[in-house]
Amino acid sequence: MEKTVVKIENLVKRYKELIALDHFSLEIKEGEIFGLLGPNGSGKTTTINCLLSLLSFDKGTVEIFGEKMTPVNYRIKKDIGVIMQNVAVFDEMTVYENIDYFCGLYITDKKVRKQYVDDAVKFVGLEDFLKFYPKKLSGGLLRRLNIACGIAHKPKLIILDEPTVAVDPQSRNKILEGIQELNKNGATIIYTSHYMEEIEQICTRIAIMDKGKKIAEGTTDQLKKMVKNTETETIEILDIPEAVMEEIRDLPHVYNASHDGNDLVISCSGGKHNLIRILQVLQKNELSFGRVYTTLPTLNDVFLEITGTELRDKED
Amino acid sequence: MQVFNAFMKVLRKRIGTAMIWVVIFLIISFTIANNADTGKLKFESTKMDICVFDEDNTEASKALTEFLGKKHNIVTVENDKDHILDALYYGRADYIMTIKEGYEQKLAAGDTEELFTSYHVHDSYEATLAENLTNEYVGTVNAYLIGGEEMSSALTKTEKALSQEVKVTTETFDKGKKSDGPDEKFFYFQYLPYVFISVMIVALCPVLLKLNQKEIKHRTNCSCITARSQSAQIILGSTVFVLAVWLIFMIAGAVMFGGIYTGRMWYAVLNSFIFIVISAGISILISAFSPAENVVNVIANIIGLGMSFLCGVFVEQNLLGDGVLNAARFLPAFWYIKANDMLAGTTGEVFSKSKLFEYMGIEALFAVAIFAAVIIVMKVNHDKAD
Repeated sequence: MEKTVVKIENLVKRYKELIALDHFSLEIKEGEIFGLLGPNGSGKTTTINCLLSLLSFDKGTVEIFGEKMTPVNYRIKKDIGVIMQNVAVFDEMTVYENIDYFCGLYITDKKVRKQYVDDAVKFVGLEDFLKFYPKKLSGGLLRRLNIACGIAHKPKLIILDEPTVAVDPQSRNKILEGIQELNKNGATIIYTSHYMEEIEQICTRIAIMDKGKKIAEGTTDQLKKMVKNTETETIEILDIPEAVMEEIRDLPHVYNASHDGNDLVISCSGGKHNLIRILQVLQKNELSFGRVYTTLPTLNDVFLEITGTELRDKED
Repeated sequence: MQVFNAFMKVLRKRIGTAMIWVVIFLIISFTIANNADTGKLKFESTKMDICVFDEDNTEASKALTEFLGKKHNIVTVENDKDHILDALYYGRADYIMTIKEGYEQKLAAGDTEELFTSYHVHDSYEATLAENLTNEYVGTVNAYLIGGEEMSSALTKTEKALSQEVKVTTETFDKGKKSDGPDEKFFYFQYLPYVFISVMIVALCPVLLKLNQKEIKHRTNCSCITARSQSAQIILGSTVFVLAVWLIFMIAGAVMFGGIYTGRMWYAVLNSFIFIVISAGISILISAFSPAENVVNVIANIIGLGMSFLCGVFVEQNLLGDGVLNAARFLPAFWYIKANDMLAGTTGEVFSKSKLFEYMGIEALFAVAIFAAVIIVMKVNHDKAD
């Protein structure tokens, strides 16, 4: 049976009138890459800060590795690596000195530490920049340094709070690949982001947050099954008689069909071969059409279905 | 000792700015020390501009004119009332005298009355000085003549007698002991508050800001290092820095003034130590408010210059207005300067150990109050962050 690494129960955090976390519960198993997805202000960072005892909370319990997490539980802390949203390094130290400093907060043995620092440098690919000062690094390299500082001591639990904000796509992919590699090496990962694509790409399980509450939890597939829409067919067609539209609407599993002048958009819920059946109707009525494509539901659709607003709308 | 090492590494990058202050201060101090008035009172004869009209034109009158020429500057003015008054009005002459005809004759007869007429500014000290001098001269010649000397011999001896100068030095005594000051070494201490405050704010404040930067603080708080150990290492780093800066100034002072401190200088050394602790406290207090790093230099200037001007670091306290001094009492530099002034003897306040320790005690109370404020601000910040 998989061990529980993190267990949060009924967590409540208030900032005066604002409820930042509203009876939030979570359980993360060993070896998972657990994604916390939600728009800005949904409570992801507050959850992480409470989890790490950086913030006190009004109600609830937090357990890590089966022990109650407190600000002075250093036995737990030694196995946690933290990579915060904002880069937390010293501008006055070189790349190597920074990694060595943060690793040294956990590892006192200099020999062991040197090995760990070298491993971390290699892991993030900063070998050529060891003597560089952070100000001389590009945004992507700086993020990699930030990650190296958080993982150099080889923690069992790694918490990444939006580590790819303002990072170019190439560096983002490298970071995501790195996270998956850390996971393969045995670390449990908690990954927060408001980029659903990232969460979908790397997380084995996801919790979607909004207004301090967990509104959904499961694997990507489980979450997508929560949406009525299982596929959307889009067909380029200039004109379509109303009788044909009615025929399409009457097809099994079709629950919505509309034509906006250029595209025929059909929403389906469950079932197989929906597209074939739709195309057969068009052929039977001798209607010519252009491009045809199918889109599958995203986590944004899940969020939309549950909250009535889009994940991306909320970011703004 | 990771946090301590980080403290030192960050400090090393910031020390350049602070060193500029230190070097400039030491250069200025060295220059002032080498050119400074030693503080001992000096006496020098005043030279006046005197015009002499000699109507007698005898050996005696010429001797008097020559004598006056040695003591003062002889100037020429046209012998006309308007010109004479103009010369006095415009300061071209301080005293204009006429040796009346029959001067030598009257002198030989022992008559010393109404030998001269003069023009001078009413009640001026120059007139008094000139009259005293001529009276002294005439009196001395007369004394020699009464003593049986010939006129020429009397004139020579008088000239010789009155040319002798007495060397004058002053010493102040306090309770039977010879005073140490005023002394240029105390002037060196006088300016320390400004440089201490500036160096502490410019160098220490950014280091503390960096170590307490939210993201770095969070990362450190998530680590195995205890909060107590973190604080202890930061305090140790700050203490090492404060002591190093203080020692640099004390050693520089000792080198500059030729050797180890003596006597009351040790009180000044103690006074400066209390003040550097206050300066460090001010710097820590500022950092507790988390100002932007680029504002720190501005704050250093405002506090350093403001406190220095108000408290008499740059301008002597006895030249400052009562209003300013009353306000300055609420600043630690005021008491530092008061103590230093007493040690230097510049304000005439008689040295008293109890008074000195009272001033230093008030400074120490300021230090306690500042550190208490630091604790309160940090507590408020912590609560706010929660």
